[in-house]
Amino acid sequence: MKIRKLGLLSLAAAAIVSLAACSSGAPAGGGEAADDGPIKIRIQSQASIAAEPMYMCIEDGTFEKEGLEVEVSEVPDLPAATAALQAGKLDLAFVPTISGLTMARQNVPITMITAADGINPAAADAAPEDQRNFTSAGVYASKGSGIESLKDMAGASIAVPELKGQPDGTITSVLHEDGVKTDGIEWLKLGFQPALDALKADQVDAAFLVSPFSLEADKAGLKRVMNPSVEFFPTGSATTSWAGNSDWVKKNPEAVKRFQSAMASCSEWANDNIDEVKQHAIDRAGLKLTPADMPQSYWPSAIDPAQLQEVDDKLVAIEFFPEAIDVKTILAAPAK
Amino acid sequence: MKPSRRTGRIAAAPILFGALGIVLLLVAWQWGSTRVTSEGALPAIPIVAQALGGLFAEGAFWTDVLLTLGIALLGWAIAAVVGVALGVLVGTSDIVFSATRVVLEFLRPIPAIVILPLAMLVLGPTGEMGVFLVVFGVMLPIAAQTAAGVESIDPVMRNTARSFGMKSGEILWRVILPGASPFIGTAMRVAAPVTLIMAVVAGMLGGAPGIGSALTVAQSSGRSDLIFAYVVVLGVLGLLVQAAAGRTERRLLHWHSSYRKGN
Repeated sequence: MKIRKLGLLSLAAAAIVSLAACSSGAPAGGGEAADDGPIKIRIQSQASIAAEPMYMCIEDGTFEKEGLEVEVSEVPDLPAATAALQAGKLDLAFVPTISGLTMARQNVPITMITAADGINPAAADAAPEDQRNFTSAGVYASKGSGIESLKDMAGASIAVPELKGQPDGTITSVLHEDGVKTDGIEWLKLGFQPALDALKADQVDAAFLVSPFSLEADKAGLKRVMNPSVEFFPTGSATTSWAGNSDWVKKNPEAVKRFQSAMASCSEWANDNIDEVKQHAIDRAGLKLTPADMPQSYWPSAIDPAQLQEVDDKLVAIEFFPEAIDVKTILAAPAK
Repeated sequence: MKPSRRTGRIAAAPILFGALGIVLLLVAWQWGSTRVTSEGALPAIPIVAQALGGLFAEGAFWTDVLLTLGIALLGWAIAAVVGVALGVLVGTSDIVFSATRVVLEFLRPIPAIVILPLAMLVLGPTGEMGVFLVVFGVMLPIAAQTAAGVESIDPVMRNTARSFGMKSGEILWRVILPGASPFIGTAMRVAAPVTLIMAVVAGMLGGAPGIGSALTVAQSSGRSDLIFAYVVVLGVLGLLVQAAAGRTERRLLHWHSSYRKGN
């Protein structure tokens, strides 16, 4: 009798906790309006300041005013997020520009809808040593590598968070423009923390780091030799975007238009209130930083097709991609 | 008769040695944190303790804990029902055994993490995906142990039950399941901490709700103090889950000879 009671109590407790677990998480159905109600969009994001205007759009009601109900899933792994996108479990994902161009060549049906973050126009007039004020992404050299400038990077071992992605694509292009041979470079896939530790221990020659790891590298006295994003991307262009499955984009033009309009509005506001955005990112992600530690980010209102084509052409020129594509085929029509 | 001092000392010994083990681990951790060049690699204990305190004060943390436990528990329950049923079928039917043997042996060594992209395709970054991963991770070992338990039952017992006119359902409920219960109990207890691991992995890599997702946010924010705080929380949860599973096993199977004192 005692065992039966214990068993029933345990079952009841398990049921309550389990129902709570499974009632959370991404909801079903996206891109559809319930009669005249808001259109639901399920969006994948990452804990990055690049996505901050999207979070602020939710909190300040901009999406609501545009008739959108946005729900966010923080899926850190881009392949997993892309799989969910293709399966219709997510509607939009946070996609780095070069990853989007790579996916297009792998026949992944993806369409970039609008820009997430980009290169601050003010970076165009900045001296090389000041470019770091506009991007947290930098390439740092270990003390034992002997690397003092780009010329010393031929044949170096460089740690990047992903292979055939934005980090190695931009670094290779910048080195090519400086006349440095990149054939002998050894690319190592390492997360930011292990890469930072490897730099400090002289186990790699250089590493691609972003904030807050780049700040740790500065504190450790490591030399920042390159700002690949600022040097590679056209000024004012999108370095990351919000992208959806092409089929979903085609079938939900109203949702796409509203999202573009909301993001344009939020991005414009974010550019005018950058300190507030930085503090919001610090609070949301629990960063141990102050706004002064963070770079002057920038959020374009839309993706410029000409700039995206320029990015693609540059990558083809260094043989990162075998041949060029017409980028308009992977861009959604802009909201008017 | 009063227990002797010697009996008291013998009873206290495991607790004291256990506490000593924990102290030694903490000392090694603190010493290690002073030796590594990067604070991010191994933060000091006071830093982690402070982060832990901060977590306890957040409502979102307790929600994540409940979600992770909920996913682990539900997956465990589903895996138990399906695994035991499958194990009984495999153990009692030669046809089912022959038909499933190769498939089950093929599937068993596949780590649950390998099917994560497939689970994401079908279920998306949801609690359901987490539950699926948990079920995949522990169901086959439970089924295998159950089958072994069923096969270990003395055929004379089954034949005797049959000769007494018991039907198949009665034999299953009164002879087979009780006879296989120590194997089933062990399998369930061993699976308990694995369900927690799977639930966290589903969050870290697949975006399922819970501690896993929170861990990933801490990782991308460079908050190694939070990462280690979550590690401590997961260790404690694992201990609690293991203790609860062991206790439940002993209480439910106390009648079996293998669980009686002195065995």
